[in-house]
Order: sequence, then C-alpha cells, then structure tokens
Amino acid sequence: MFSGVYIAQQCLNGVVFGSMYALLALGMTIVYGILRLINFAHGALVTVGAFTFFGIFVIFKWHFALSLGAAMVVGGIIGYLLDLVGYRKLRGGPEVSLLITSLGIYILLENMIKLLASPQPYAFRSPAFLAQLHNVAGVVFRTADIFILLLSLVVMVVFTFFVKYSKLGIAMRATAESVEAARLVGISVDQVVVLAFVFGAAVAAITGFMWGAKYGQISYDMGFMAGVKAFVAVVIGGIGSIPGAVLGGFLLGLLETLSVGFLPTGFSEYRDAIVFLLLILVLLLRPTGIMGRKEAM
Amino acid sequence: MQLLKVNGVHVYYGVIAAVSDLSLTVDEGQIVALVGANGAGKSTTLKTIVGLLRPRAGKIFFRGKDITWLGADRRARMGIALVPEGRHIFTTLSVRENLILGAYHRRDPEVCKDLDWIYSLFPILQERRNQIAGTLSGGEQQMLALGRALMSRPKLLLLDEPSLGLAPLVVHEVYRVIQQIHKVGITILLVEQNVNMVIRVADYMYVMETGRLTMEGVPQEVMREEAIKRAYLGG
Repeated sequence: MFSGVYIAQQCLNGVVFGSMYALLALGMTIVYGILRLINFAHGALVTVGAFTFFGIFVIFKWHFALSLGAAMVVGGIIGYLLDLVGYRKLRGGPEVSLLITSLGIYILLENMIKLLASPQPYAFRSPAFLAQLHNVAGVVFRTADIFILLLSLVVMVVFTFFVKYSKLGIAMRATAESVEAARLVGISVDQVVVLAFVFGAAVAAITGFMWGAKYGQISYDMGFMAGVKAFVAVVIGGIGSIPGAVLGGFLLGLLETLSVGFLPTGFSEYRDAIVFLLLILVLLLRPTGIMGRKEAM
Repeated sequence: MQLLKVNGVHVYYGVIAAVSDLSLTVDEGQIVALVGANGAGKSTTLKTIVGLLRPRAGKIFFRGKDITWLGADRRARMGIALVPEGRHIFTTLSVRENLILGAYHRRDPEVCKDLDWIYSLFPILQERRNQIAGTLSGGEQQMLALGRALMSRPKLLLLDEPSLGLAPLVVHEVYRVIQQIHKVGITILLVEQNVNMVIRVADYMYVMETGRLTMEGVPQEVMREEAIKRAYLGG
C-alpha cells in the first residue's frame, strides 16, 4: 500500500502544479468574464514569459528578481499590444471572430519564438538557491516548489483584494456583468479590458518562469499544454468565475498528480488523457462547472 | 439656458426606423416628459441621447457641444445619466458597490457626502447597503438605480419608466424623490406611461407616436386634446 509520506509527497506536487494552473486559469477567466472570449493566445504568453526570463537571466545575467520582473513587464506589454492590435477592432462583432483571432495569435507567437530562439528545447536554468533540496519528514521538495506556491498565493490574494475593494476592481466585476450598464455609469470598457489583458498576460509570463523551474526545460511549444490545462481548469471551476478558476486549477493539479501517482506503473503516460476525462465528466455532470452560474463572474 | 438639444434625429434598428426626424429641447432646471404608447420610440430616444445607440442622421447637443459621436462613457462623464427601464443595476454587486460605481468618474472628495445624501433619500438602501443588489425587491432596485445615477452628480437625468411594475405606494415614493432631486437643481427628461404622474411633475411634455413627435406643450394644455385624453386617460 501507499505510505503517508508518499501520499503527502504526491499532494505537495499536486498543489504546486495546481497553483500554476490556477494562476493561468485566473488570467483566462477574467478575459472571458468581460469579453466572452476563450483566449487561446493565453498559453503563448507562458512561453513568452519563460523565454524572456531565460534570456535575461542567463544571457544578460541580470539579478533573478529583476529578470522575473522583466518577464512580467514584457508579458504585460505583449498583452496590451494583443488587445490593441488583435482584439479591439473585433469587439462587438461575432464572438467566434475573437476566438479565431486568439488561435491565430497563438500560432503567430509560437512561431515567432521558434524563429527567434530555436525549435530545440532549452535546459532551463534558475538560480542555485531554487534548486536546493529539502527533506521534511521524508517529503522531498525543492525551494522552487515553495517559491512557486508562495508567489501564486501572493498573486491570488493581491488580485482578490484588488477585485473586491478597489474602484477599478469593482468596475471590472461590473463590466463582466453588463458592458452596457458599465458604460452608462461612465466606466471606460476599453480601459477595463486592457487591464484584464495586461494582468492576465503578466501573470501568464510569471507562470512561464514557474513552468520552466518545475519541468527543468522550456521549448517554443510549451504554451500549448499550459493553455489547454488553464482552459480545463476554467471549465471545471465554472467559466467566468474567479474563485472557480482558482479552485479548478488546484483540483486539476491534484487530480492529475494523484491519479498518476496512484495508478500502476505505465499509466503515467496517460496523465493528459486523465485530465480530459475529468473535463468530460464535469461537463456531463455539471455543465456550468463547479462554481459557475449562467453568465456570472 | 438650453441644456439638451436633439435636432432631426433618425434612429434605425437594421432597416426598421424606430425614431424619425425627432427634435426636442430640454432647458436647464426643467422636468420634461416624453409620453407615448409602447413601441413609440421613447426608450430608443433616451438610449440615443446617452450614446448606447447611434443616430443615422441628425445631431445631439449637450450644453451647446455636439455630442452625437461621443461614446456612452464620455457622455456619462459629461453629466448625462440614464436610469434605464428594467433598472440595469449590477445584480452581483452589493448595494454600496453599485452606488460607488455611480460616482466612478468623480475624483472630488464629496463622494462620501453624496453617499450619505442618497442614504437619506432612500433609507432602505442604507439598511441594505451590504446586500447583493440582485436580492432587492423591484421597488428597492428602482431606488438603487436612481441613487446610482444621482451619485454621478448628473446635470441631466434621464428616467425611463420609473414607475413601471411598481406598487402604487412605491410609485409615490419614487416620485417624491424625483421632485426632491429636481429641487436641488437637476434637470430631468422623463419617459413615462403613467400620465397622471406626468401632469403632476412635468413642466413641458412631448407626445410620441410610431417614432415621431406628434404634439408638445405644457402638460395641462396637451391633456385637454381629445385624442390624447382618449389614448392616455381612457376618455
């Protein structure tokens, strides 16, 4: 049978993966809440973040915190540009136009990274202190795991306070409920949408660093699975719901890790299949997701 | 002084004309009413004035400035507020959050004072300030919609059927507040089917039929017209 230490180890791994999925889902669900757009380009921002951090930290040898900050800023700027160039003109048109554009942008970004970097994966180098191993009562983890978990929690808490208590955050929730009513009270919907894109992209870029630190390698197509996982987390939690996205992310991370950890050897290959099986089950049993309500944020 | 001037406006939904060649003016300090049967184009007119709909022809001036092509958020910031039919409050936000959003574009320090003013106009809103707005009764939602619009310190307040679907007592309460609002110097353009209320509060009225203005004047005089009496007072 499985020991307590083994179960704790699997749970810790699941929570670490879950926190990354939750962050990605958060960015995706905010944009959906306002524009009703499943932003497939979101995954590409993970790749952008990972490569920006890698380039600045390894090639330019900037300080770790500065490199992370720079990845976030670059992500945010790209998020802003995507909205300005890609989506703004399409608002008010059919939702499917936005969806197809987001797929196009994903392909464009992925191929640009392929051209600029290389089609080959890179071994991801993060600072030595993150690679340090710890052993607490038999549960082994690296500093990177704790760093990922803490950073995710900080982002989520800050965002929750922002959305709940700041005027702009309240405006964001209001716009998600009704764009027309928001305009009537003088909210600039463009400003709110830009904010959602910039925040989502910056957080996705940080997740890019986390992804690299966790898997130890980065590649031009790493954003695809990241984007799909975020989407699954959003759907499980309830599309458009902020707490739902976080819950969906953690649930996905845990279920994915635990199912692989507890299935017989050889089944770990089916990790992604299990994720999609879970998605199908949720859609069958609760089509609006766990915390989803009809068109609510 | 002329606050709002609508000049020869035509509004279409696709190929269907909803408003044709409509011209009206609202002077500062007045309560002007726009009455008409269902589908006459009254709500369309209000939506066009606030910028939710774009006219195909014609111009709209606010305080002498051409605002025809400005977006709804810009117009709201200039001082035009609409309390739409069906209220359109933010049902997932709390009462207080709804009111704060009314003052979204304001940067002055008097927002808190105005919040107290709204609570004094509608004590029930203070009682329910932390309640989710979607759980309020119809009358309370109407008060919240009115309060939210007032939080923007509008120069022109557009009210779309404020008495629709409300119990008679609540209607009187809403109109008591409308008159109070008017006393503090806010100009009001009121769309209403409840003609008795219009006669009581309005300084001037326009009558709309199938997208066109057919009559205008001081309410008491307009209501003397036999056709109007028949249509709105049942004889």
